[in-house]
Amino acid sequence: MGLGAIGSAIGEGFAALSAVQVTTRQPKASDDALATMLIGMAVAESPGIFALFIAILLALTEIEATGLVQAAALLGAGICMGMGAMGPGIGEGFAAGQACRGVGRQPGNKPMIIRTMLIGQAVSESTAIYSLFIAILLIYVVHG
Amino acid sequence: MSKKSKIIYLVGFICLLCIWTGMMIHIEPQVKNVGEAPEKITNIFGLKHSFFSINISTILNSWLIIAILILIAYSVGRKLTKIPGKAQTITEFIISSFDHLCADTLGADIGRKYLPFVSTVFIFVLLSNWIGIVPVLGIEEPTRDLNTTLGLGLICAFVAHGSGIKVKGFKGYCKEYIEPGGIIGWCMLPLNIVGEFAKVGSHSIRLFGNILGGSVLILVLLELSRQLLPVYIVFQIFFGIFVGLVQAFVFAMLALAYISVKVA
Repeated sequence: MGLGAIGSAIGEGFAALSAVQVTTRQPKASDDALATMLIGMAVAESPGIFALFIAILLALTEIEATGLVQAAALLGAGICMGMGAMGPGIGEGFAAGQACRGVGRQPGNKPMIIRTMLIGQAVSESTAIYSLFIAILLIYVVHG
Repeated sequence: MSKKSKIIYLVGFICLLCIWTGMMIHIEPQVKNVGEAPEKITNIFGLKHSFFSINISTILNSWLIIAILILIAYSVGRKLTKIPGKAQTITEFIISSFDHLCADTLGADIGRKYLPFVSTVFIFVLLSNWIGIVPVLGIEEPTRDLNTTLGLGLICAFVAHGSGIKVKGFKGYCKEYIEPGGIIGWCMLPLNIVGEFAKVGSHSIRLFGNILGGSVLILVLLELSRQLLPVYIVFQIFFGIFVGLVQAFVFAMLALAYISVKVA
């Protein structure tokens, strides 16, 4: 969870940075930029949410007899999701920040910009999904 | 009130009462929910229980939300006046803002066709997220169950892919997976296919994780602060209302974006 939080935090910080820049330069576009920033941040939050999900699973699942292999698999699942959530968090936050800047420059294009941002974020989410899938695999399928 | 509307309100009230009784019978104590979260999650993987087991609390809460939505729609839609009252103003505001959104994203004519679907998804998810704020025993958000969100995500995916096939024909729809022509397109094919699954997965798990994480967090904080009321109120305002609104909006916007990618 700790590693996973790094990525989302950096990414969302960049989005907030861009939104503030837009507010400074074009105050009339600030509402649109705020809405774009919120949407982009909510999506950039999701790798952190995956990490939280895996952390809760690891903390609360009751495991029966643990051998060394299973202990190593659980540790690996945690590290896998943590590091896997770093990259997409930063990347999606970057996309959100640039989308805010684009909305600041051309508020009339807002739906198209938001749509492009969402599609790009959804594709870069793929690697976070891979990590989530492998982490769940490691928790539930490795025995002994 | 006319006789027919009185009967409908009475029926609605009896339905709510039945749902609430059902919840009381199948109550799962709130405090133990922290440890039981993995039980509900593993229900969908079919590992501990059979594939056909049901999360009673999720279903009953979903029925509760459906009943509430039907009652609200009935009572607001009965007398629509040109100069709207308060309730009509709020509902018109929600519907018209989604109308503008759909028209901007999909084009004016196609936007109207998908408006009912997208706004229904938004309203259902919004009410599901917000119903967890009510501190009545037995009422919890149905979206804290992965089954609900995955079901909604699959519905949105089917709508998107189905619309794509209908608008472009099956060959046109398949051609999109091999986007740049030639050898690079064929290399992109597995990536695009996995990307589709990743879209559905992330769409659902984002909503599920946010709502479940928020509610578990509030439970833990309440335990730690020994049932201090201001802590509960403050965190419910943030995690319950704000996160619920944002996540519902992002869910509906993403559904709209996926449809527009396939249809455009």
